[in-house]
Amino acid sequence: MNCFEARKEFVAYWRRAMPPAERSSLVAHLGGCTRCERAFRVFALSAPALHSAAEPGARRISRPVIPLRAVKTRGPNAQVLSMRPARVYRRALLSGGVAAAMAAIIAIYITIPSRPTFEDAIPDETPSLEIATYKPAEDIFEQGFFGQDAMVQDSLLSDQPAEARSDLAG
Amino acid sequence: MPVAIAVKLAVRSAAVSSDKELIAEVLGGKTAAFAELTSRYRDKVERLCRRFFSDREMARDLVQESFIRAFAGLASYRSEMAFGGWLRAITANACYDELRRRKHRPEELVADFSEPEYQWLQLVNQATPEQIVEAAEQRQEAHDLAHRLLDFLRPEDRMVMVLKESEELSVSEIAQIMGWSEAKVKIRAFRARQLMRKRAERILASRPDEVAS
Repeated sequence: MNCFEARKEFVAYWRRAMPPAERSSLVAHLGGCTRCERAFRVFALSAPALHSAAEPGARRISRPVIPLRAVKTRGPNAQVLSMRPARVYRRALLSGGVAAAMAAIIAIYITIPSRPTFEDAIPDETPSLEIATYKPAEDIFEQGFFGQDAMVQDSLLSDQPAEARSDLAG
Repeated sequence: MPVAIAVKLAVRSAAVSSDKELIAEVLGGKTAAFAELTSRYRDKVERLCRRFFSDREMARDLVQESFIRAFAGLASYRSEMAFGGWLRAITANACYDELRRRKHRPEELVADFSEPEYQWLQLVNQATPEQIVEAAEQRQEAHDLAHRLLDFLRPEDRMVMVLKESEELSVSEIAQIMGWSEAKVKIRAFRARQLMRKRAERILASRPDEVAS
């Protein structure tokens, strides 16, 4: 009995539905083949739930249960096969996507010109705060503020009684 | 008395009617004929449901669900396909839907495994195949642990495990039922076995630490 035939008979062996000669042949094979023995132990983990002889409709299997090439749990290729699941690919894709997104953000930051600042928005001719507020007293006098003060004084005096006006004006 | 004879004859005639004849009757308006189909396939449908769910009540609910779906979709049944296979596909899909609905899968807690389950795991790891087969028949914990290990699998992986190993379907048959590619079925089958093995190894490796702590 070779490995392919042996694994084909796991279910029948579990259900005790094998002729004695084939059964002893399988037992002998399992005793000498570590790979098939290991495969049988994995099979035995789920077999009580999946292959109960007491269940109705149990029948002897005639098709291969486990493809031989799918059960490489040992040897140099075992690690390669165990790394095949989609989760590994998903992880690689995810990390690649994150790296690409970061590269795109950096590229956008470098290539797009920077936004104008508040200082850039102020026209050059606008005087600075310091210049705008500074008015020496001499300038004020030259601009005729005295005249305006005199007009204000006149308007204030006009609201007062005649005696008070003469006192204030004097 | 003549009534009893008539009933017996009717029952006998119903028993010998083929599935296709019964389906034709149902589609022709005699919905009572579906009860005969139900009684014929109830055990098989329930057995399949029990492969997915160890909870008997849940399995019975899914049996009901499967037959309801079959009745509702009977018009779409094509006679080229065996009714049993068609019904099995409906049942498998009903179970798959239920597995997907259960988004929460149990976490792997080593402490949750009982001592008999752990002993069974040790036996599977160390004993000869002959001893394993003999012991499995007498141990309920073997059945419990197998279901718990299957519970850890993703719904897709579990579907493939059950349909391939328990229902003995070929890769192409599973692909047809699930609407997947054959490559996907093969990958899922391989992956499911790998995951179960790794889980078992992890439990075995971590158990001494648990005991020591």
